Amino acid sequence: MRWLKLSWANIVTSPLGSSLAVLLMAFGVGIVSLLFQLNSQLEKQFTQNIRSVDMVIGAKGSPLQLILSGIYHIDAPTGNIPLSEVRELENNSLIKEIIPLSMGDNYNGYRIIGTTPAYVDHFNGEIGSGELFSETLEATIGALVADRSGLKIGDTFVGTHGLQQEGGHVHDGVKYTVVGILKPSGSVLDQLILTPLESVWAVHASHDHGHDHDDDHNHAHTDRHDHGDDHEHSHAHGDHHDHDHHAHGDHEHDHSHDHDHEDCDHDHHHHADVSEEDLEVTVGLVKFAGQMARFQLPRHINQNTNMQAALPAIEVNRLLSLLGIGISTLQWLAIVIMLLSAISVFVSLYNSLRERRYEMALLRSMGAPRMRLFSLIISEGVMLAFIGFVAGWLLSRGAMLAVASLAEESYRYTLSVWEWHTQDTLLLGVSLLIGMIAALVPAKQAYATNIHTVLGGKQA
Amino acid sequence: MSIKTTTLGFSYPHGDAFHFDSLALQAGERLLVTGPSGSGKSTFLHILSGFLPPNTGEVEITGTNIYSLNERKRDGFRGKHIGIVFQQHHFVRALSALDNVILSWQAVGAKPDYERAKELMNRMGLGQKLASKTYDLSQGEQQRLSIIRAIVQRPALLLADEPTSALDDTNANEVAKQLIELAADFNSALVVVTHDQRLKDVFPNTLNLLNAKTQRS
Repeated sequence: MRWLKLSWANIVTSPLGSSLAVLLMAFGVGIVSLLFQLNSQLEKQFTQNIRSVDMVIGAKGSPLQLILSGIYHIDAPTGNIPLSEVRELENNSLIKEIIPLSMGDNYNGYRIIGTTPAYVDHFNGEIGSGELFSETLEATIGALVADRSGLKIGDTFVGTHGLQQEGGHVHDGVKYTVVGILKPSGSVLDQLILTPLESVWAVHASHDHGHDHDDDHNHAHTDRHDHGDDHEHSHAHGDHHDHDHHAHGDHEHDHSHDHDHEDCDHDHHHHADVSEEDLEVTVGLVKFAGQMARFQLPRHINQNTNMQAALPAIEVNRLLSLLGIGISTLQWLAIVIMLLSAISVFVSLYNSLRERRYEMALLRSMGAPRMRLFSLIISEGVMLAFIGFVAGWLLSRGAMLAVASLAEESYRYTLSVWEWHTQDTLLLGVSLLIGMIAALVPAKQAYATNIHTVLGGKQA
Repeated sequence: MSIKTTTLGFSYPHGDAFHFDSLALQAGERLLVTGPSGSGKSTFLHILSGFLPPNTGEVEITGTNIYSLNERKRDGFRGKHIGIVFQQHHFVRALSALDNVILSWQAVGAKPDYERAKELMNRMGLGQKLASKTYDLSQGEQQRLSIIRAIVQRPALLLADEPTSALDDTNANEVAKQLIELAADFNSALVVVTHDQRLKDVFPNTLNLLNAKTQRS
């Protein structure tokens, strides 16, 4: 029968009464669904990209920052470390492999990473077309980079200093050539431009040659931004030799920043042919050879070298638990909102039922059994909840769309938006249940309708 | 026999007690039940409708003793065999005029006869109001709509509660005529409960409830 149609008609006829209930339900569902989404995407992105990296080494600073920049390419690096020290560490028997990464430039916001082919193997990356980089200034680009930037094999591009899209110095004259495009891997590789370590050294070496003092201000600005390490900069005034950990081997930048007002007697920094011992990388991704390494190496490196070692598993757990506090707070908020929506569904039905006492008696006088009235009201409650759920789900996807575009704009991460999660099914079930429970009392009232009393029986 | 009752007794918990004489009507016959207010008209009507089980006596409609049925079955029986025109015109606000008529079938889970419903609405001058909301109809239109709703399933018994008391002479006559005609056409027994003396002329049989109340609280 059309009882569902009647439920629907009742809801539509009093939109004002229904809308508050729907609105509250929508907000509750929206927040919960968005949280589910963010949580699962975040965990997916975080765990997917750790892979088997056991430890990250880099310049001293915040360990979380080191992990974020070294593994996820979202924060700025802590600085640079000498390649020689990394090589030395490689001889340690507890270490299976170290993949060096050198960063500092970007193209349209996509980070240019100097590395070795081992980095691609690490993610099980496969070449989609063209080939892997081998010579200096050859670049193999991630699938997303190719898709969004339109770069094709054979194209050339110029890197911009810094890790953000805007405001960096353009390394004119040094052009990368695209030699290959990677298949989509669902990992961070998709959003990176990979090139041999030598490219990064070459770019910054040649840059030193052509350095123009007019650029000083600009450099100082971007350097400060990139390193996120102002502390060391500000203390560097009195200490001309403390430049080991400044990024990219572009000593010129740092000095023009640090010593702007001092007499320039640091000629030895100006010569640009970079010798082997001056070479630097930004981070090293370390894989352990055995379990013992986990306990010995981090302490060894942190105490005995100028480098810092951080364990991604620990840092990510710490980050997720920090986020977890926020997420669980929001979860409670959402639960409260959904409870309010339950109350509001109840009030809305209760009020409309008071106005519809006669309708209920009329329906019974026309032959509708009590159970029919009961289920009529229940289905109105469930329907309100369902509308609220749909609105809330759309709301959460709208918010997700905004978050995703932000994530892509700032970090070049792509998040999926329109997926239906198992939790959404659960959420749908819970919403409908709330609608049903909220309708129980009004439905019982409808069930108890006494025709004789309601329809004109003078005696109550 | 469309409707047949024995002597009916009913008393309210707080004292008022009534006693109604027996009655019997064939299909197509009609009866006027009169009495001043407080004489038990509504109580009698509700007993005949199956809303209110009497303390003593039986109500038989098309051969079925309605108070021997359980409530669920009695609701269904009423939906099919008894049409009621209430003094106040109650409708389901959310539905159109036509859907309110259709509801008489749907309330008992029967297949609606849209053709008959529309035909009847045309005949009663509501052909242009099929899709109107009931609260947009005039008083007269609402009254006609509730008569249509009561009769559309061809009930054995058509009950009307004060159908004319709020109307002027002309309209009262018109409504009485419509009720009588429709009941005859649809082969229903018609019982009109009213204090409106004007209807006496068009009803050959009258049951006066003047002495129905046996005990006063």
